[in-house]
Amino acid sequence: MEKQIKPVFTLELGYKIVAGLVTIGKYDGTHPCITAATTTDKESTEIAQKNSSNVGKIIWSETNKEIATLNVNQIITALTAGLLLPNEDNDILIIGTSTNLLVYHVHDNRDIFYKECEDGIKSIVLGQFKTFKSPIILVGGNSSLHGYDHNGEEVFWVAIGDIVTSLILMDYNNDGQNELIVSSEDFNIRVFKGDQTIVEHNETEVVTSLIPLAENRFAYSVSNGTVGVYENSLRLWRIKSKNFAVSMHRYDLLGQSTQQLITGWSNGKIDCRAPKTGEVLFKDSMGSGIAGITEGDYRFIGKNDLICISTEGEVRGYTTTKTVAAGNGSNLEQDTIREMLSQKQALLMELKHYESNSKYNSNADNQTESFEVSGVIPSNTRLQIMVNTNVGEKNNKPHVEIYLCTNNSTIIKAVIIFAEGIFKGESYVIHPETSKLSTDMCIPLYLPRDYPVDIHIKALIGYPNSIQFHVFEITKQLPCFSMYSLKQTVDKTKPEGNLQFKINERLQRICMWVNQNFLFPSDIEFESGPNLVLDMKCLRDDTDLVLVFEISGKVTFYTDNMFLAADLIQSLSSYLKLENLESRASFPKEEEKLKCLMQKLSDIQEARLKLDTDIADRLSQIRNLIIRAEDSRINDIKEMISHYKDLDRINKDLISGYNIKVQNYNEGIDTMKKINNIIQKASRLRVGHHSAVMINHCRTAIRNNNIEGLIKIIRTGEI
Amino acid sequence: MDPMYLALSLFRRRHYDKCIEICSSILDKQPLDQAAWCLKMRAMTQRVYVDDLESEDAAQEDVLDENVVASAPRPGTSLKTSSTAAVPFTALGARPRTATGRPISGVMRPGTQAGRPGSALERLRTSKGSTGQSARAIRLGTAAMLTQKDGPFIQVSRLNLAKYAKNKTLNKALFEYLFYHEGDVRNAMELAVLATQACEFKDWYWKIQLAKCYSALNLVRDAEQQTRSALKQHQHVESYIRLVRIYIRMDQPLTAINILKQGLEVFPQDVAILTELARINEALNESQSSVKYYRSVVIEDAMNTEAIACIGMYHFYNNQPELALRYYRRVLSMGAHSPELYNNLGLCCLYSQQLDLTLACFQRALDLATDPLIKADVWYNLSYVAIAAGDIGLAIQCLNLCLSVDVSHAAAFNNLAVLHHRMGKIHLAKAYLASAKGHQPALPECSVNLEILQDA
Repeated sequence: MEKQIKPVFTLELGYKIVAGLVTIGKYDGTHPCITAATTTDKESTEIAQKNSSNVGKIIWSETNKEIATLNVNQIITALTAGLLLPNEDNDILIIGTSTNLLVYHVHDNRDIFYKECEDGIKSIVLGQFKTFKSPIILVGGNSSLHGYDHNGEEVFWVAIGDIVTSLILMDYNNDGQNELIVSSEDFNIRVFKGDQTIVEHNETEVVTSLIPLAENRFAYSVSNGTVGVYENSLRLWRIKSKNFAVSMHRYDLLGQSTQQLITGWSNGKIDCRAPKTGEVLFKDSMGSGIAGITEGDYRFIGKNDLICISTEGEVRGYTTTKTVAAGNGSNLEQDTIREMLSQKQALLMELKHYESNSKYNSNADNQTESFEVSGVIPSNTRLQIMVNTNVGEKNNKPHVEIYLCTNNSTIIKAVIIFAEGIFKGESYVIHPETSKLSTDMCIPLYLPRDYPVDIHIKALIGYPNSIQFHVFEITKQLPCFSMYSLKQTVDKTKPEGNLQFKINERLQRICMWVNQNFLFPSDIEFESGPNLVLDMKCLRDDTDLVLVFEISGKVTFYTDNMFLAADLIQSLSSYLKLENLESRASFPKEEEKLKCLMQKLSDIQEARLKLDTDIADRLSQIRNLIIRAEDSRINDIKEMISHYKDLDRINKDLISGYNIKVQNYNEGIDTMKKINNIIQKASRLRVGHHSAVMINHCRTAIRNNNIEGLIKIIRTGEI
Repeated sequence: MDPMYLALSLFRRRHYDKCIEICSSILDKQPLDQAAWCLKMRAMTQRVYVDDLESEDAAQEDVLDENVVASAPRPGTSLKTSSTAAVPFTALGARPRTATGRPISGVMRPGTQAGRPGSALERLRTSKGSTGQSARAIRLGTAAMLTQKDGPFIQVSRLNLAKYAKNKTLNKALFEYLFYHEGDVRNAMELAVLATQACEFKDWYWKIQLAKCYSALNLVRDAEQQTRSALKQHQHVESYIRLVRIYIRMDQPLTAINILKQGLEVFPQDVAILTELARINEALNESQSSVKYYRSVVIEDAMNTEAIACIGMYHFYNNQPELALRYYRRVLSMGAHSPELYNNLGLCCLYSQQLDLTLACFQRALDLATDPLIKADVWYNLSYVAIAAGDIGLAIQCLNLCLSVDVSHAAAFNNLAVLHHRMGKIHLAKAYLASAKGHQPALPECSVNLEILQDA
């Protein structure tokens, strides 16, 4: 019944398409052209365009081909098209390569601008952002995000800290202005309003793509095959699949007047889901993996079609089909009835179990033997849970431990823990040996990051000989900073790095924050004295963390870990609902590192210039030699051999030179990433307005290569 | 007289050889005299200096490079298609061109001679080839060696470039010496990089020089960046022209035109910019707008031979040979003396019925023509005179002579075929047409003629 939506057109491009690099644009203002990056044997990558051929004039008249190729001598990493120039209705093609951004006017065969992006280009989005009047191009690189206007001027910059995988612009909080949503390889989804981060979501794996949906929702896909939808900060649903979602799009395929989420998978499956529930409404599949999904008025009928392109170059177009929706309607009734019947069956079964259980319980206690066999346990059995920090002994690292025990002689057969981002995968099963079964159990957890985690525990409770077990479900939230424990002995030395700021809050409320966010054996309470000092140790790397809250409102965090300080201040400010917070930071180690990195970066850039010239010079030598060798083929055959030998040697030189260049490039990217990471952390040491101001100052400092200035900005947040 | 003063004076009067001699003698006495060293460097540079913007072998696309983005651009947006087959058959567009695709206008201009017929790869095969380094660059390298009897003036490999880069009085002279005299692009570029760093990227001069080096090394995109950044700092006609040349290399004439129009806003009625605009428009087969720009050039500079000749050509193909004749005579009276000019004068005379001068002009043209390609063209045109006189035998002879100098003159083959056909030798005509097609498959006439012959 689901196969009722037939493609309205299919065609072959005859090129292999790189997954994800597909877009559509009306380069002459009226006719949509599919544009895709192709894979070629050469290193250069080409873009194939397919014109709508059956209607309108054929534009590429002199070649009489439907496919035009554009040559880009580098590997294309991102591709998008859209209206950029004010007062012009031709779409502009924006091509991102590993080092450059080319904004190209396809119709006129001219560059709008060409920019070198040292940070690389991983994703591009075009649209209205902030208060800029005309659309701007936002480019996500390896560790930062740049915005350019149509003149190629950089108008926006923000440090991200890891590779930007996807960018979208949408009205996130319904204020009539576009917010920028950025996903990066550190598993984060961040929402920017202007220069300010307003929301951060954590995912379990690298978020690969984002897509805006109607009604302030957005969908995301994760590299482990998860697809889900957020509405504001609430996750509506998510599903997981073996395959990996390559492309997502929104389109009203079923004529429901709202748009559905269309997902293209790496195995060639296309499915259409309801954005609210994630229910699959339609499925189809293509011969090979999906390269991209887009929409455009390809048949020239005044209405956009959904266009799916596979990696083998197959193109299929779908359009809104109302009849299917009606057909589904009648099926829906039957489905509902079937579903309710099965639910009834399940409930009946459950009732039966309860009845038998209560029968056993009402009988005398002396029938323990039969209890065990039939898996019945006393009705007053409870499962207790304790979460604690463990400093660790010799052979096991410090960890957070979860202690489970039952209140009677029943044993815990197995425990299933389900939590995001702690384990490889999402669940963890503990199944002790039969001989070691007991009434209690300790589960060590190693939390890799400071982030509040919900853990869902399912414990199988019964008797050692039982065949059937009872399942107890417990949900527990681990506080954000679980991996820190109070030190028993207070030593005088404090970490070098510190962060100071002033807040006007009673210390009692701060205690509440501490109790909520740390995992201490007993709640901290502030009795009296000038200040509250918490001396802690990190369970991950054994470093110290000292929090000093003075009664005057002055707060100092002593730690060498800038990232931790940033997390603490963000958590505290959101707890106390502070909109703006200024701070003074001093992290000598990070500053030293930054200095080294900046120095290294400028060295690398210098070397790169030299390497480029070397390669260009060798290329011109090669050109010379080829001509000479060919010349001597006619005149002097002996000379030819020596020329070709030279050619071979230079070619080898060239290859090794190229390898050096690649290494240099990678190092550069790496250094850049580290620098941006530090800046990003530093910006999180401030809250609200101050953080945005700081980012702007950093940008100017970096542009002028002003190391001292940059360090000062990181310390004070100002120039 | 103070020898240094004399040397300076000689330099100013462009007696470079004598200037160099005096400088050398000063340097023999005082090897560390920087002023003399610098002057010698400048004199040596000036002696071999060629304006690389207006020189004939302007950089061209190379077999091994692909800077062009669109492989099949829309007509009117690229220079590649316009010179070959896609010439529109309008009265103005369909002009005969030389075998190199150059409109015969009576003037030489940069970049029109280098493009031999056939693709760059074919050129390679026939080993007429051109390398990425222009011929001039190679010549310069050898020139530098010839001039010095007792070893080179400056041992480039021993130079401490970092030291000189910081010296503001010396670095520019040294750079030009390295770039123009030695032809050593790499070291010149290294110097430029160091110098631009030394002045904290504030000197637009170095950015332009860097762009020159990048262009010479075929790093077109880098050259573009440098030129643009230089333009931001300081607007200069040369920078605009250089940027335009870069875009022409990338085959983006519309971008080039945009840049030139921006340039015109800054430098209204600048002759160099207007000329460049006119050239690009002509290459795009927009002869009307091209002539418009040439007319603006002539208003500014009444002695500009290129503009006058191009306007003359426009009139000629617009069926106004008398007007064309006036323009060409103007060029002649300004002292230009080239086979193309006499050839064109002859044609104008022929079509404006001044037959007494026609043959005299062609005689001069033949006397002056040394380049076989030009000679072939003159003979080809002479055949038209013969046809106009009704002497088919002479016409055939002229065409044969044309082919004897240039064996790949497709139009001549075609015309020969037509003449032979008229004389009834259909098989011979077919053979000639076939060879015409073989030499220049894109030539529309021979395809049409072949079809007619097939039908007959």
